Amino acid sequence: MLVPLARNEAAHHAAQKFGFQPSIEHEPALAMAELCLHVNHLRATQAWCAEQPVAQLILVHTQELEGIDQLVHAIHAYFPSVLISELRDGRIVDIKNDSAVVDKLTELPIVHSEDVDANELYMLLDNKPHEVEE
Amino acid sequence: MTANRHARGSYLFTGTFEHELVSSMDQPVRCVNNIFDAIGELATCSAADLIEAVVIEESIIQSNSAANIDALRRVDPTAVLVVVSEKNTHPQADANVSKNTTSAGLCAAVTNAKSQPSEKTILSEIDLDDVLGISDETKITRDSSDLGDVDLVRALMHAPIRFKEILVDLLKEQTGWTFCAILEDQTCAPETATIAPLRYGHEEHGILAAVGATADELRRWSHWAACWLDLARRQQHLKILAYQDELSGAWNRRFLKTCLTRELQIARETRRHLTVMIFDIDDFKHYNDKWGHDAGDEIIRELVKLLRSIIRKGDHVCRIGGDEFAVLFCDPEPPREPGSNHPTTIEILAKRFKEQVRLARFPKLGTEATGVLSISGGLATFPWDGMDVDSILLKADQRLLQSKRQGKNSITIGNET
Repeated sequence: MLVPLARNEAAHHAAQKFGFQPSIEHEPALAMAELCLHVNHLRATQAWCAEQPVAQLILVHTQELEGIDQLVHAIHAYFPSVLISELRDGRIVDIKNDSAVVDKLTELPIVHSEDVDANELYMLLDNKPHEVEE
Repeated sequence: MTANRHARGSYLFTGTFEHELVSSMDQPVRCVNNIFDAIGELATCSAADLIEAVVIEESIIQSNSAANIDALRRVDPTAVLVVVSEKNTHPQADANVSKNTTSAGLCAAVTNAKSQPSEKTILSEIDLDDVLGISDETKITRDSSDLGDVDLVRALMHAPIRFKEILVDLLKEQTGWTFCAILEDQTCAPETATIAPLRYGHEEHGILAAVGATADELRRWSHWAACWLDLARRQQHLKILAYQDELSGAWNRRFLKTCLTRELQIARETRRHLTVMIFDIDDFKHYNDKWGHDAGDEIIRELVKLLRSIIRKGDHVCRIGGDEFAVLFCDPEPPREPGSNHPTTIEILAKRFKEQVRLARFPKLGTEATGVLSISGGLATFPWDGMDVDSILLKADQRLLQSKRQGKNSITIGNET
Protein backbone atom coordinates (compact mmCIF):
# COMPACT_ATOMS: atom_id res chain seq x y z
CA MET A 1 0.00 0.00 0.00
CA LEU A 2 1.18 3.50 -0.77
CA VAL A 3 -0.24 6.19 1.49
CA PRO A 4 0.98 9.63 2.59
CA LEU A 5 2.43 9.48 6.09
CA ALA A 6 -0.26 11.81 7.42
CA ARG A 7 -2.96 9.40 6.19
CA ASN A 8 -1.39 6.25 7.58
CA GLU A 9 -4.47 5.42 9.62
CA ALA A 10 -6.57 5.16 6.46
CA ALA A 11 -4.28 2.42 5.14
CA HIS A 12 -4.50 0.48 8.37
CA HIS A 13 -8.28 0.75 8.41
CA ALA A 14 -8.50 -0.45 4.81
CA ALA A 15 -6.14 -3.35 5.52
CA GLN A 16 -8.25 -4.37 8.49
CA LYS A 17 -11.50 -4.00 6.56
CA PHE A 18 -10.36 -6.05 3.56
CA GLY A 19 -8.24 -8.52 5.53
CA PHE A 20 -4.87 -7.62 3.97
CA GLN A 21 -1.49 -7.81 5.63
CA PRO A 22 0.14 -5.18 3.45
CA SER A 23 3.57 -3.69 3.43
CA ILE A 24 2.91 0.05 3.80
CA GLU A 25 5.12 2.70 2.21
CA HIS A 26 4.81 6.47 2.31
CA GLU A 27 7.13 7.42 -0.55
CA PRO A 28 6.32 6.52 -4.18
CA ALA A 29 9.93 5.53 -4.96
CA LEU A 30 10.11 3.23 -1.96
CA ALA A 31 6.76 1.70 -2.92
CA MET A 32 8.14 1.00 -6.40
CA ALA A 33 11.27 -0.57 -4.90
CA GLU A 34 9.27 -2.77 -2.52
CA LEU A 35 7.00 -3.81 -5.35
CA CYS A 36 9.99 -4.79 -7.53
CA LEU A 37 11.46 -6.87 -4.71
CA HIS A 38 8.11 -8.48 -4.02
CA VAL A 39 7.48 -9.39 -7.66
CA ASN A 40 11.01 -10.77 -8.05
CA HIS A 41 10.55 -12.76 -4.86
CA LEU A 42 7.27 -14.21 -6.11
CA ARG A 43 8.89 -15.18 -9.40
CA ALA A 44 11.91 -16.73 -7.71
CA THR A 45 9.90 -18.83 -5.31
CA GLN A 46 7.29 -19.95 -7.78
CA ALA A 47 7.48 -23.46 -9.17
CA TRP A 48 7.87 -23.70 -12.92
CA CYS A 49 4.56 -23.66 -14.76
CA ALA A 50 2.61 -22.99 -11.54
CA GLU A 51 0.03 -20.27 -11.46
CA GLN A 52 1.77 -16.96 -10.85
CA PRO A 53 0.48 -15.15 -7.75
CA VAL A 54 -0.39 -11.55 -8.54
CA ALA A 55 1.24 -8.69 -6.70
CA GLN A 56 -1.01 -5.75 -5.97
CA LEU A 57 -0.35 -2.10 -5.22
CA ILE A 58 -3.12 -0.17 -3.51
CA LEU A 59 -2.98 3.61 -3.63
CA VAL A 60 -4.54 5.45 -0.70
CA HIS A 61 -4.97 9.24 -0.82
CA THR A 62 -2.08 9.41 -3.25
CA GLN A 63 -3.41 12.57 -4.90
CA GLU A 64 -1.43 14.24 -2.10
CA LEU A 65 1.82 12.70 -3.36
CA GLU A 66 3.96 13.68 -6.33
CA GLY A 67 4.87 11.44 -9.24
CA ILE A 68 2.00 8.95 -8.99
CA ASP A 69 1.29 9.04 -12.74
CA GLN A 70 4.93 8.25 -13.43
CA LEU A 71 4.86 5.47 -10.84
CA VAL A 72 1.78 3.86 -12.38
CA HIS A 73 3.25 4.19 -15.86
CA ALA A 74 6.55 2.60 -14.77
CA ILE A 75 4.79 -0.32 -13.08
CA HIS A 76 2.73 -0.96 -16.22
CA ALA A 77 5.90 -0.85 -18.29
CA TYR A 78 8.17 -3.01 -16.13
CA PHE A 79 5.71 -5.22 -14.26
CA PRO A 80 2.55 -5.42 -16.39
CA SER A 81 1.20 -8.28 -14.28
CA VAL A 82 0.99 -6.13 -11.16
CA LEU A 83 -2.53 -5.14 -10.24
CA ILE A 84 -2.80 -1.45 -9.34
CA SER A 85 -5.83 -0.39 -7.36
CA GLU A 86 -7.03 2.68 -5.58
CA LEU A 87 -9.01 3.10 -2.39
CA ARG A 88 -11.98 5.21 -3.47
CA ASP A 89 -15.07 5.88 -1.35
CA GLY A 90 -14.29 2.92 0.87
CA ARG A 91 -13.97 0.55 -2.09
CA ILE A 92 -10.90 -0.84 -3.83
CA VAL A 93 -11.11 0.09 -7.50
CA ASP A 94 -8.70 -1.27 -10.09
CA ILE A 95 -6.75 1.18 -12.21
CA LYS A 96 -6.75 0.08 -15.84
CA ASN A 97 -3.53 -0.31 -17.71
CA ASP A 98 -3.98 2.46 -20.27
CA SER A 99 -0.80 1.51 -22.07
CA ALA A 100 -2.36 -1.78 -23.11
CA VAL A 101 -3.84 -1.42 -26.61
CA VAL A 102 -6.86 -3.59 -25.92
CA ASP A 103 -8.19 -1.20 -23.29
CA LYS A 104 -8.41 1.63 -25.82
CA LEU A 105 -10.65 -0.26 -28.21
CA THR A 106 -14.37 0.06 -27.76
CA GLU A 107 -15.07 -3.22 -29.53
CA LEU A 108 -12.87 -6.22 -30.00
CA PRO A 109 -11.56 -6.42 -33.59
CA ILE A 110 -12.97 -9.21 -35.77
CA VAL A 111 -10.37 -10.84 -37.94
CA HIS A 112 -11.59 -12.49 -41.14
CA SER A 113 -9.26 -15.16 -42.36
CA GLU A 114 -9.27 -16.75 -45.76
CA ASP A 115 -11.08 -20.05 -46.12
CA VAL A 116 -9.08 -23.19 -45.46
CA ASP A 117 -9.77 -26.16 -47.69
CA ALA A 118 -9.89 -29.75 -46.52
CA ASN A 119 -6.37 -30.56 -47.66
CA GLU A 120 -4.86 -27.62 -45.82
CA LEU A 121 -6.77 -28.55 -42.71
CA TYR A 122 -5.45 -32.12 -42.82
CA MET A 123 -1.94 -30.82 -43.38
CA LEU A 124 -2.26 -28.55 -40.38
CA LEU A 125 -3.71 -31.22 -38.12
CA ASP A 126 -1.95 -34.40 -39.27
CA ASN A 127 1.00 -33.03 -41.16
CA LYS A 128 0.03 -35.14 -44.20
CA PRO A 129 -2.29 -34.57 -47.16
CA HIS A 130 -5.87 -35.76 -47.05
CA GLU A 131 -6.29 -39.23 -48.54
CA VAL A 132 -9.52 -39.32 -50.47
CA GLU A 133 -11.37 -42.63 -50.14
CA GLU A 134 -12.32 -44.14 -53.49
CA MET B 1 38.32 -5.64 -6.90
CA THR B 2 38.00 -2.56 -9.05
CA ALA B 3 39.47 -4.14 -12.17
CA ASN B 4 36.99 -6.99 -12.02
CA ARG B 5 34.06 -4.68 -11.64
CA HIS B 6 34.87 -2.84 -14.84
CA ALA B 7 33.21 -5.74 -16.58
CA ARG B 8 29.99 -5.20 -14.68
CA GLY B 9 27.92 -3.43 -17.23
CA SER B 10 26.13 -0.36 -18.33
CA TYR B 11 25.52 3.13 -16.97
CA LEU B 12 21.91 4.11 -16.38
CA PHE B 13 21.37 7.84 -16.97
CA THR B 14 18.30 9.14 -15.16
CA GLY B 15 17.14 12.61 -16.18
CA THR B 16 18.24 15.02 -18.89
CA PHE B 17 21.92 15.06 -19.78
CA GLU B 18 24.10 16.69 -22.39
CA HIS B 19 24.19 14.55 -25.52
CA GLU B 20 28.01 14.84 -25.62
CA LEU B 21 28.34 13.29 -22.18
CA VAL B 22 26.09 10.33 -22.90
CA SER B 23 27.42 9.65 -26.39
CA SER B 24 31.07 9.82 -25.32
CA MET B 25 30.75 7.04 -22.74
CA ASP B 26 32.76 3.91 -23.44
CA GLN B 27 30.36 1.76 -21.46
CA PRO B 28 26.93 0.72 -22.73
CA VAL B 29 24.39 3.35 -21.78
CA ARG B 30 20.67 3.33 -21.01
CA CYS B 31 18.58 6.44 -20.48
CA VAL B 32 15.36 6.93 -18.53
CA ASN B 33 13.48 10.04 -17.48
CA ASN B 34 12.39 9.43 -13.92
CA ILE B 35 13.24 7.62 -10.72
CA PHE B 36 10.53 4.96 -11.18
CA ASP B 37 11.86 3.89 -14.56
CA ALA B 38 15.35 3.79 -13.06
CA ILE B 39 14.11 1.46 -10.30
CA GLY B 40 12.31 -0.66 -12.91
CA GLU B 41 15.47 -0.92 -15.04
CA LEU B 42 17.55 -1.92 -12.03
CA ALA B 43 15.03 -4.53 -10.94
CA THR B 44 14.60 -6.13 -14.34
CA CYS B 45 18.11 -6.03 -15.81
CA SER B 46 19.49 -9.47 -16.55
CA ALA B 47 22.65 -10.94 -15.06
CA ALA B 48 24.25 -10.71 -18.51
CA ASP B 49 23.55 -7.00 -18.79
CA LEU B 50 24.03 -5.56 -15.36
CA ILE B 51 23.80 -1.90 -14.43
CA GLU B 52 27.09 -0.81 -12.98
CA ALA B 53 26.20 2.77 -12.11
CA VAL B 54 23.07 4.88 -11.88
CA VAL B 55 23.79 8.48 -12.85
CA ILE B 56 21.00 10.70 -11.54
CA GLU B 57 20.30 14.31 -12.33
CA GLU B 58 19.72 16.14 -9.06
CA SER B 59 16.28 17.49 -10.01
CA ILE B 60 14.99 13.91 -10.35
CA ILE B 61 15.52 13.12 -6.69
CA GLN B 62 15.17 16.61 -5.27
CA SER B 63 11.72 16.06 -3.71
CA ASN B 64 13.14 13.52 -1.27
CA SER B 65 16.69 12.55 -2.11
CA ALA B 66 17.16 10.24 0.88
CA ALA B 67 14.06 8.14 0.09
CA ASN B 68 14.81 8.06 -3.63
CA ILE B 69 18.40 6.93 -3.12
CA ASP B 70 17.24 4.41 -0.51
CA ALA B 71 14.76 3.01 -3.04
CA LEU B 72 17.49 2.46 -5.65
CA ARG B 73 19.72 0.81 -3.05
CA ARG B 74 16.97 -1.54 -1.91
CA VAL B 75 16.61 -2.87 -5.42
CA ASP B 76 20.33 -3.23 -6.15
CA PRO B 77 22.72 -2.52 -3.28
CA THR B 78 25.76 -3.10 -5.50
CA ALA B 79 25.15 -0.46 -8.19
CA VAL B 80 27.12 2.77 -7.76
CA LEU B 81 24.86 5.80 -7.33
CA VAL B 82 26.18 9.07 -8.73
CA VAL B 83 24.30 12.34 -8.34
CA VAL B 84 24.96 15.07 -10.89
CA SER B 85 24.29 18.48 -9.39
CA GLU B 86 25.14 22.15 -9.75
CA LYS B 87 26.60 22.68 -6.30
CA ASN B 88 24.87 20.49 -3.70
CA THR B 89 26.28 17.23 -2.44
CA HIS B 90 24.16 14.27 -1.40
CA PRO B 91 25.89 12.28 1.31
CA GLN B 92 23.69 9.22 0.70
CA ALA B 93 25.07 8.88 -2.84
CA ASP B 94 28.29 6.99 -3.57
CA ALA B 95 29.63 9.93 -5.57
CA ASN B 96 28.67 13.50 -6.45
CA VAL B 97 29.83 15.13 -9.68
CA SER B 98 29.23 18.56 -11.18
CA LYS B 99 26.92 19.19 -14.12
CA ASN B 100 29.77 19.94 -16.49
CA THR B 101 31.56 16.68 -15.84
CA THR B 102 33.03 14.70 -18.71
CA SER B 103 32.70 10.99 -19.42
CA ALA B 104 36.22 10.51 -18.05
CA GLY B 105 35.30 12.43 -14.89
CA LEU B 106 32.17 10.36 -14.45
CA CYS B 107 34.04 7.08 -14.90
CA ALA B 108 36.68 8.23 -12.43
CA ALA B 109 33.98 9.05 -9.88
CA VAL B 110 32.43 5.60 -10.30
CA THR B 111 35.81 3.88 -10.09
CA ASN B 112 36.71 5.86 -6.96
CA ALA B 113 33.41 5.01 -5.34
CA LYS B 114 33.98 1.34 -6.04
CA SER B 115 37.57 1.33 -4.84
CA GLN B 116 36.58 2.52 -1.39
CA PRO B 117 37.25 -0.22 1.14
CA SER B 118 34.21 -2.27 2.05
CA GLU B 119 31.93 -0.15 4.09
CA LYS B 120 32.67 -0.49 7.76
CA THR B 121 30.31 0.80 10.34
CA ILE B 122 31.33 4.17 11.62
CA LEU B 123 31.14 3.29 15.23
CA SER B 124 30.26 6.40 17.10
CA GLU B 125 30.49 6.51 20.83
CA ILE B 126 26.74 6.95 21.02
CA ASP B 127 26.05 3.78 19.10
CA LEU B 128 28.51 1.47 20.82
CA ASP B 129 28.01 2.75 24.36
CA ASP B 130 24.26 2.82 24.07
CA VAL B 131 23.87 -0.66 22.69
CA LEU B 132 26.31 -2.08 25.19
CA GLY B 133 24.80 -0.18 28.08
CA ILE B 134 28.08 1.54 28.95
CA SER B 135 26.50 4.98 29.26
CA ASP B 136 25.47 5.70 32.81
CA GLU B 137 25.36 9.38 33.51
CA THR B 138 24.49 8.85 37.17
CA LYS B 139 28.08 7.77 37.72
CA ILE B 140 29.52 11.09 36.60
CA THR B 141 27.81 13.14 39.28
CA ARG B 142 30.34 15.45 40.83
CA ASP B 143 31.47 14.66 44.37
CA SER B 144 32.42 18.22 45.23
CA SER B 145 32.08 21.68 43.75
CA ASP B 146 35.50 21.43 42.08
CA LEU B 147 36.00 19.30 38.99
CA GLY B 148 39.15 17.24 38.95
CA ASP B 149 40.92 14.66 36.83
CA VAL B 150 38.78 11.96 38.41
CA ASP B 151 35.72 13.47 36.72
CA LEU B 152 37.41 13.04 33.35
CA VAL B 153 38.21 9.42 34.11
CA ARG B 154 34.58 8.83 35.11
CA ALA B 155 33.38 10.52 31.93
CA LEU B 156 35.62 8.24 29.86
CA MET B 157 34.24 5.18 31.61
CA HIS B 158 30.56 6.03 31.87
CA ALA B 159 29.63 8.82 29.47
CA PRO B 160 32.21 9.19 26.68
CA ILE B 161 29.77 11.27 24.67
CA ARG B 162 29.99 14.00 27.32
CA PHE B 163 33.76 13.86 27.67
CA LYS B 164 34.54 17.06 25.74
CA GLU B 165 31.84 18.98 27.55
CA ILE B 166 33.23 18.00 30.97
CA LEU B 167 36.77 18.79 29.82
CA VAL B 168 35.71 22.31 28.84
CA ASP B 169 33.84 22.79 32.14
CA LEU B 170 36.96 21.77 34.00
CA LEU B 171 39.11 24.19 32.00
CA LYS B 172 36.74 27.06 32.73
CA GLU B 173 36.66 26.23 36.41
CA GLN B 174 40.43 25.96 36.71
CA THR B 175 41.27 29.08 34.71
CA GLY B 176 38.39 31.50 35.13
CA TRP B 177 38.25 32.17 31.35
CA THR B 178 35.00 33.81 30.27
CA PHE B 179 34.80 31.68 27.11
CA CYS B 180 36.38 28.35 26.31
CA ALA B 181 35.59 25.84 23.55
CA ILE B 182 37.08 22.96 21.61
CA LEU B 183 36.47 23.70 17.93
CA GLU B 184 37.07 21.98 14.62
CA ASP B 185 38.82 25.00 13.12
CA GLN B 186 39.56 28.61 13.98
CA THR B 187 36.89 30.09 11.71
CA CYS B 188 34.31 29.10 14.33
CA ALA B 189 36.12 30.96 17.13
CA PRO B 190 34.97 34.40 18.40
CA GLU B 191 37.10 37.30 17.17
CA THR B 192 38.30 38.14 20.67
CA ALA B 193 39.40 34.58 21.44
CA THR B 194 42.97 33.37 21.69
CA ILE B 195 43.48 30.03 19.99
CA ALA B 196 45.94 27.15 20.28
CA PRO B 197 46.10 23.85 18.41
CA LEU B 198 45.19 20.71 20.31
CA ARG B 199 47.96 18.37 19.22
CA TYR B 200 49.36 15.27 20.88
CA GLY B 201 52.28 13.79 18.95
CA HIS B 202 51.05 13.58 15.38
CA GLU B 203 47.41 13.46 16.37
CA GLU B 204 45.24 16.54 15.80
CA HIS B 205 42.23 17.16 18.00
CA GLY B 206 41.02 20.55 16.73
CA ILE B 207 41.76 23.85 18.42
CA LEU B 208 41.24 25.30 21.87
CA ALA B 209 39.71 28.77 21.83
CA ALA B 210 39.47 30.92 24.96
CA VAL B 211 38.59 34.50 25.85
CA GLY B 212 40.60 36.02 28.68
CA ALA B 213 43.59 33.69 28.36
CA THR B 214 47.21 34.68 27.72
CA ALA B 215 49.04 32.89 24.90
CA ASP B 216 51.38 31.12 27.32
CA GLU B 217 48.55 30.05 29.59
CA LEU B 218 46.54 28.76 26.66
CA ARG B 219 49.50 26.79 25.29
CA ARG B 220 50.03 24.97 28.60
CA TRP B 221 46.37 24.10 29.00
CA SER B 222 46.05 23.03 25.35
CA HIS B 223 48.87 20.50 25.90
CA TRP B 224 47.06 19.15 28.94
CA ALA B 225 43.69 18.98 27.11
CA ALA B 226 45.23 17.36 24.01
CA CYS B 227 46.68 14.62 26.18
CA TRP B 228 43.22 13.81 27.59
CA LEU B 229 41.58 13.99 24.17
CA ASP B 230 44.15 11.57 22.81
CA LEU B 231 43.47 9.18 25.66
CA ALA B 232 39.73 9.38 24.92
CA ARG B 233 40.35 8.67 21.22
CA ARG B 234 42.59 5.70 21.98
CA GLN B 235 40.09 4.28 24.41
CA GLN B 236 37.37 4.53 21.79
CA HIS B 237 39.62 2.82 19.26
CA LEU B 238 40.36 -0.04 21.66
CA LYS B 239 36.66 -0.43 22.41
CA ILE B 240 35.94 -0.73 18.70
CA LEU B 241 38.74 -3.27 18.26
CA ALA B 242 37.26 -5.30 21.10
CA TYR B 243 33.79 -5.50 19.56
CA GLN B 244 34.33 -5.35 15.82
CA ASP B 245 35.34 -7.98 13.32
CA GLU B 246 38.28 -6.55 11.43
CA LEU B 247 37.73 -8.33 8.12
CA SER B 248 34.10 -7.50 7.52
CA GLY B 249 33.47 -4.50 9.74
CA ALA B 250 30.56 -6.37 11.34
CA TRP B 251 30.29 -6.73 15.09
CA ASN B 252 31.88 -9.82 16.66
CA ARG B 253 30.68 -12.62 18.95
CA ARG B 254 31.58 -10.65 22.08
CA PHE B 255 29.33 -7.84 20.92
CA LEU B 256 26.51 -10.27 20.14
CA LYS B 257 26.51 -11.71 23.64
CA THR B 258 26.79 -8.32 25.36
CA CYS B 259 24.23 -6.64 23.17
CA LEU B 260 21.79 -9.56 23.24
CA THR B 261 21.89 -9.63 27.04
CA ARG B 262 21.04 -5.96 27.19
CA GLU B 263 18.40 -6.09 24.45
CA LEU B 264 16.70 -9.06 26.14
CA GLN B 265 16.48 -7.06 29.33
CA ILE B 266 14.85 -4.18 27.43
CA ALA B 267 12.54 -6.57 25.58
CA ARG B 268 11.37 -8.05 28.90
CA GLU B 269 10.74 -4.64 30.42
CA THR B 270 8.91 -3.24 27.40
CA ARG B 271 7.09 -6.45 26.37
CA ARG B 272 8.68 -6.43 22.93
CA HIS B 273 9.89 -9.40 20.94
CA LEU B 274 13.46 -9.88 19.84
CA THR B 275 14.65 -12.12 17.02
CA VAL B 276 18.06 -13.56 16.26
CA MET B 277 18.95 -15.11 12.92
CA ILE B 278 22.04 -17.28 12.66
CA PHE B 279 23.17 -18.26 9.20
CA ASP B 280 26.20 -19.51 7.34
CA ILE B 281 27.25 -19.74 3.72
CA ASP B 282 26.56 -23.12 2.15
CA ASP B 283 29.77 -24.95 1.19
CA PHE B 284 31.93 -21.95 1.94
CA LYS B 285 35.03 -24.16 2.12
CA HIS B 286 34.43 -25.03 -1.50
CA TYR B 287 34.63 -21.34 -2.47
CA ASN B 288 37.83 -20.85 -0.50
CA ASP B 289 39.39 -23.94 -2.07
CA LYS B 290 38.28 -23.08 -5.58
CA TRP B 291 38.80 -19.33 -5.69
CA GLY B 292 41.35 -18.74 -2.94
CA HIS B 293 41.12 -17.16 0.49
CA ASP B 294 41.25 -13.67 -0.93
CA ALA B 295 38.00 -14.34 -2.79
CA GLY B 296 36.55 -15.91 0.34
CA ASP B 297 37.36 -12.75 2.31
CA GLU B 298 35.73 -10.68 -0.40
CA ILE B 299 32.56 -12.75 -0.16
CA ILE B 300 32.44 -12.24 3.60
CA ARG B 301 32.83 -8.46 3.18
CA GLU B 302 30.27 -8.20 0.40
CA LEU B 303 27.81 -10.35 2.31
CA VAL B 304 27.99 -8.06 5.32
CA LYS B 305 27.56 -5.04 3.07
CA LEU B 306 24.53 -6.65 1.43
CA LEU B 307 23.02 -7.55 4.77
CA ARG B 308 23.49 -4.03 6.08
CA SER B 309 21.58 -2.64 3.12
CA ILE B 310 18.60 -4.83 3.96
CA ILE B 311 18.27 -4.70 7.74
CA ARG B 312 16.55 -1.89 9.58
CA LYS B 313 17.98 0.84 11.73
CA GLY B 314 18.56 -0.64 15.16
CA ASP B 315 19.33 -4.16 13.87
CA HIS B 316 22.87 -5.48 14.27
CA VAL B 317 25.00 -7.73 12.05
CA CYS B 318 27.64 -9.87 13.76
CA ARG B 319 30.22 -12.26 12.36
CA ILE B 320 30.48 -15.01 14.94
CA GLY B 321 32.68 -17.52 13.12
CA GLY B 322 34.52 -18.09 9.84
CA ASP B 323 31.43 -17.97 7.65
CA GLU B 324 28.86 -17.86 10.43
CA PHE B 325 26.84 -14.74 11.05
CA ALA B 326 24.16 -13.56 13.44
CA VAL B 327 21.65 -10.79 12.90
CA LEU B 328 20.00 -9.26 15.90
CA PHE B 329 16.62 -7.85 14.95
CA CYS B 330 15.84 -5.38 17.69
CA ASP B 331 12.16 -4.97 17.08
CA PRO B 332 10.95 -1.40 16.70
CA GLU B 333 7.31 -2.53 16.46
CA PRO B 334 4.77 -1.67 19.14
CA PRO B 335 4.58 -3.81 22.30
CA ARG B 336 3.00 -7.20 21.70
CA GLU B 337 -0.46 -7.95 22.91
CA PRO B 338 -1.80 -11.15 24.47
CA GLY B 339 -2.44 -13.78 21.82
CA SER B 340 -0.26 -12.14 19.17
CA ASN B 341 1.67 -14.36 16.78
CA HIS B 342 5.27 -14.41 15.63
CA PRO B 343 6.24 -11.23 13.81
CA THR B 344 6.22 -11.55 10.05
CA THR B 345 8.42 -8.58 9.16
CA ILE B 346 11.57 -10.42 10.25
CA GLU B 347 10.63 -13.37 8.07
CA ILE B 348 10.30 -11.05 5.11
CA LEU B 349 13.70 -9.50 5.83
CA ALA B 350 15.33 -12.91 6.26
CA LYS B 351 13.81 -14.30 3.07
CA ARG B 352 14.70 -11.15 1.17
CA PHE B 353 18.28 -11.44 2.31
CA LYS B 354 18.44 -15.08 1.23
CA GLU B 355 17.06 -14.04 -2.13
CA GLN B 356 19.51 -11.15 -2.51
CA VAL B 357 22.42 -13.49 -1.72
CA ARG B 358 21.21 -15.88 -4.39
CA LEU B 359 21.15 -13.05 -6.93
CA ALA B 360 24.31 -11.30 -5.73
CA ARG B 361 27.25 -10.90 -8.07
CA PHE B 362 30.64 -11.38 -6.44
CA PRO B 363 33.28 -9.84 -8.66
CA LYS B 364 36.11 -11.99 -7.27
CA LEU B 365 34.33 -15.11 -8.47
CA GLY B 366 34.14 -13.78 -12.02
CA THR B 367 31.05 -13.12 -14.09
CA GLU B 368 30.49 -16.80 -14.87
CA ALA B 369 29.93 -17.56 -11.19
CA THR B 370 26.97 -15.28 -10.62
CA GLY B 371 24.13 -16.52 -8.49
CA VAL B 372 25.99 -19.51 -7.09
CA LEU B 373 26.02 -18.51 -3.45
CA SER B 374 23.41 -19.65 -0.98
CA ILE B 375 22.92 -19.46 2.76
CA SER B 376 21.21 -21.58 5.38
CA GLY B 377 19.84 -20.04 8.52
CA GLY B 378 17.64 -20.35 11.55
CA LEU B 379 15.55 -17.81 13.43
CA ALA B 380 14.68 -17.74 17.11
CA THR B 381 12.44 -15.21 18.78
CA PHE B 382 12.09 -14.08 22.38
CA PRO B 383 9.86 -14.96 24.20
CA TRP B 384 8.49 -17.85 22.12
CA ASP B 385 11.75 -19.69 21.51
CA GLY B 386 13.74 -18.88 24.62
CA MET B 387 13.96 -16.57 27.58
CA ASP B 388 17.72 -16.02 27.85
CA VAL B 389 20.75 -15.50 25.63
CA ASP B 390 21.93 -19.10 25.60
CA SER B 391 18.54 -20.68 24.91
CA ILE B 392 17.78 -18.27 22.07
CA LEU B 393 21.17 -18.76 20.41
CA LEU B 394 20.85 -22.52 20.86
CA LYS B 395 17.40 -22.57 19.25
CA ALA B 396 18.58 -20.45 16.29
CA ASP B 397 21.58 -22.76 15.90
CA GLN B 398 19.37 -25.87 15.96
CA ARG B 399 17.20 -24.39 13.24
CA LEU B 400 20.28 -23.57 11.18
CA LEU B 401 21.25 -27.26 11.41
CA GLN B 402 17.70 -28.20 10.46
CA SER B 403 18.04 -26.03 7.34
CA LYS B 404 21.30 -27.77 6.49
CA ARG B 405 19.73 -31.20 6.91
CA GLN B 406 16.84 -30.22 4.70
CA GLY B 407 19.17 -29.62 1.79
CA LYS B 408 20.63 -26.17 2.53
CA ASN B 409 19.63 -22.90 0.88
CA SER B 410 16.80 -22.38 3.35
CA ILE B 411 15.93 -20.50 6.49
CA THR B 412 14.04 -22.29 9.23
CA ILE B 413 11.52 -20.16 11.06
CA GLY B 414 9.63 -21.81 13.88
CA ASN B 415 8.68 -25.29 12.82
CA GLU B 416 8.46 -24.61 9.13
CA THR B 417 11.02 -23.63 6.51
